Amino acid sequence: MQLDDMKQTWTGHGANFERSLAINECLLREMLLRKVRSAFVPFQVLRLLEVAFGIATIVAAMTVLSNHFTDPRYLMIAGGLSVIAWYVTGLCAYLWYETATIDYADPVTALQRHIERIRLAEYRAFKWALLLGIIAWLPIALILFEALTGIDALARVNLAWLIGNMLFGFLCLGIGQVLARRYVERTDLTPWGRRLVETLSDHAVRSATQHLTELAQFDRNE
Amino acid sequence: MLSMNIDQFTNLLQRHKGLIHKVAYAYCRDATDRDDVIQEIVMQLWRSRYRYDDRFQETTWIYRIAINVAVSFHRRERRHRERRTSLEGPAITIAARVADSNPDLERLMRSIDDLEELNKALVLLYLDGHDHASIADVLGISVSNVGTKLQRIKNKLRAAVDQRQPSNSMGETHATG
Repeated sequence: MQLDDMKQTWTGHGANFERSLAINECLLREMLLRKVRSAFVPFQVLRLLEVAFGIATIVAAMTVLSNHFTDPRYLMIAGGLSVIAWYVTGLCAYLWYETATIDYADPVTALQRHIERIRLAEYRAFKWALLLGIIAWLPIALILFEALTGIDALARVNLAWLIGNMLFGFLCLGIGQVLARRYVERTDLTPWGRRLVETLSDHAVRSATQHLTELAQFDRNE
Repeated sequence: MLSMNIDQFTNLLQRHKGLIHKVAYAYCRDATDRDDVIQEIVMQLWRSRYRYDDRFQETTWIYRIAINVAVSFHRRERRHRERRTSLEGPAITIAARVADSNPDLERLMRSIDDLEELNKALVLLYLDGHDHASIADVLGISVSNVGTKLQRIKNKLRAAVDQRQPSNSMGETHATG
């Protein structure tokens, strides 16, 4: 039996479907009204909130930086925070735009590439936000505190303690990465837990990159 | 551009329901997953209806959306096998009473199952009688690439189907009958 012989079997299969399917119009109407409107809204709203939060962080960091731009401690912390906040906010804005303009009627390879690029950007944004949260949460909190209240909190904190706190963050991150690699195959994780584990272990980025490679191979006429 | 109301959309689904079901059937062997894919395809068709370009055939447009949704769903499910969408009851019912007990079809489906996601799409389009240009259009690759890939898949499927034919025929009868 060859692929060409199978066409007949396949046509019969299709004809069988055509005969036996009946669309329930009431349920279809209900689904279109309920699901289509709500399915993509939370994702878009979340992205917009992230962009707004990112812009607020950049403004706060730049304000503090402009007040102390001759001090290396501020230059390093507020400057570093500004650079990363620009990057993450840019990624979030990119995600918002790309998901808003996604068109499933695009050719299959083009759309799949589009989706994988969105996924990669999402993992990167999440990973940087996570890195920042674990390693540099204290200096960031102090900078934001100054921006909000005008109190120069960073100058009052012992530098050795601040560095120790960041090193502890690195240690936590290292342990988290080891655990994530160990538990990435577990099936009883919540969606958020899975996202965290896949991002920390780099599993998600590898999977998206691999799919992009497969798509590139599929595109090649060899 | 096509702007259709829900009645026209229902008619469109009525005309092409078999196509949507075949794509879902090829990518998901589990009935619950299949229902989810069909719902997602219908949803994306509805969302994309304003972007439909009537220079294209309806089937090309529907195939693109159906395959894109099915491939994305398949990849997502492969990553999160344990996750099941929590739909509160079926939002759309395409009642099927397809009790295929055809061993040839079963063999064909198993062979298609073994193919990689994009090659699966290529074979579906080929089996549905699309020419190389039309397949290239749906998938977004060159016409010559379609020819090369089809030839390779044909050889692979021939070997796989021939290998299954003698030894599995009894098992298939039990499984499907």
